[in-house]
Amino acid sequence: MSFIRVFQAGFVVGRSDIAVFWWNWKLWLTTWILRVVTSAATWILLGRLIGSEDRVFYLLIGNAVIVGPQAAGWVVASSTWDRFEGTYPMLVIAPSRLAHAMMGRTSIWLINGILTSLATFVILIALFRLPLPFPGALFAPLIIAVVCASAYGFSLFVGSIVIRIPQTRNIAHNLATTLLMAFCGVSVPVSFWPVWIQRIVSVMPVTHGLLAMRLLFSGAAITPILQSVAAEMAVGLAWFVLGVMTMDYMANLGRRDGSIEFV
Amino acid sequence: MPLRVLLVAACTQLRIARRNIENIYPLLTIPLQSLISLAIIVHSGRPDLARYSLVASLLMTVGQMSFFDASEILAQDRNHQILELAVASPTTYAWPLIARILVLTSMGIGGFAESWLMARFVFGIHVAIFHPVVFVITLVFTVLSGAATALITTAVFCLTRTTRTYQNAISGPLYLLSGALVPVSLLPAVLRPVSRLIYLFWSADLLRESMQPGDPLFIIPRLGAIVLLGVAGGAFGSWLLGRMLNNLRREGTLGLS
Repeated sequence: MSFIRVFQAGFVVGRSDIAVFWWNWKLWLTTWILRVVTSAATWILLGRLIGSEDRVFYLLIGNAVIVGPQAAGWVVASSTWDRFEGTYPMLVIAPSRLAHAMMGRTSIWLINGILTSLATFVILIALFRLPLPFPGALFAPLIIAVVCASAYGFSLFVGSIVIRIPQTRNIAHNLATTLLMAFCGVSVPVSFWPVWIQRIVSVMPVTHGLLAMRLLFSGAAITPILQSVAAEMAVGLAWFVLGVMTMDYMANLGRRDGSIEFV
Repeated sequence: MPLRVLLVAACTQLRIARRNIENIYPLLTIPLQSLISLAIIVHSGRPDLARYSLVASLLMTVGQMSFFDASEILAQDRNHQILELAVASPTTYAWPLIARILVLTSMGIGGFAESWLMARFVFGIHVAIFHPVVFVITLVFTVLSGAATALITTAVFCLTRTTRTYQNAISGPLYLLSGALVPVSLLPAVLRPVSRLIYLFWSADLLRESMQPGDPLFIIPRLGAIVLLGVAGGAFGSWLLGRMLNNLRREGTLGLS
């Protein structure tokens, strides 16, 4: 069975998954985006409490970008849903790779992440009147897409781990996104943290992509922006490959020790 | 209302929470957010604002435990086919439910302890509580109001699939409007009257002021507002719960979810 056919079938299931939460775009806007924007606004207003407009804009860019990976992080939970529905054993014994079906089912959350970040950016820019560097700002959606794709790869890896212990799906998702938010330059520069943390976050998603976004908004030259985007893509690709490999490894491990059952 | 029922219900919930990591995950994740707010504050050279971070962590954990975690109790009882037995028993279902909600909401206080320790040992900031009596009384009233208000969400969240969508949506507006992290004076004027209808708003200001050297003003009226909103929420929640259970009884769907 071809990868595309399996992916498409998984994607259809993914669309049904997202429709359980938001079955039309109006509901998505008035519930999900409202939540995301108000949460981001709370963090941004902390900058205003501190009394620094520079801090306000720093937090705005950071939060508008991170909501994408947070939304894409639902991949972690959705990777485990087959365990609860009893379909996981069938996917494991199917002749196609488990990772292909999982990629199909979970990729809807990548799309949700990109759209969430874009919508949040637009709303927050309007609310806080962030000055836009034209025409450079037109490339912001591309950077958002790269950051979300990179976070998707990382989330796929985390999902492949929690597939063995699906009860931890929400805590894993929350911990992962909170740690990304804390250390990857969303709220304070990466250089604020100890060197050992800086080394770890240099191989984490968001760090380089967010730096590229900040460079774009500060009107920096094109070369460092492209370098940061390339680094983000490389990091994301590495996590994605690791995630796919782990997904299949976990399936085989579960088949060996009989832990692919319905939970 | 037999005390024994309340105690048994509370002990049962403690045992459930110990086994179910989903019950305690706000305790593990929300205080981590104070790491973020403390980092922003320290990096900006304003460690004097650390109390904002600690109060936010406390209120968000209490809020999360009451509005989201505790609100799942009824839905879980229904899923596990316990609701029929609980409703058929001679004790009114609301009492053991309140005891169970209170257990989870009280656990939210742990969020403050975690954040305080984080401020002390990660950032070296000592946040003093200058008015411990005001702090403790506000905390107790906040937890009680949180538990009472959670009756509304408990009743609503097991009704239809739309409620889950709204359950996910309310956290952002709730914490922004209640001034959990930043005071509502930073919000547009048009939104500020709404804040006064949320018990967390009154708690946030009082808790922050109890961590400042100056004497807090209007303590009694503000504590009264927390109690009043809690009582109003609890009364409405009880009425709603009764209506909801009667509806499920009438339709014969108590055990179906």
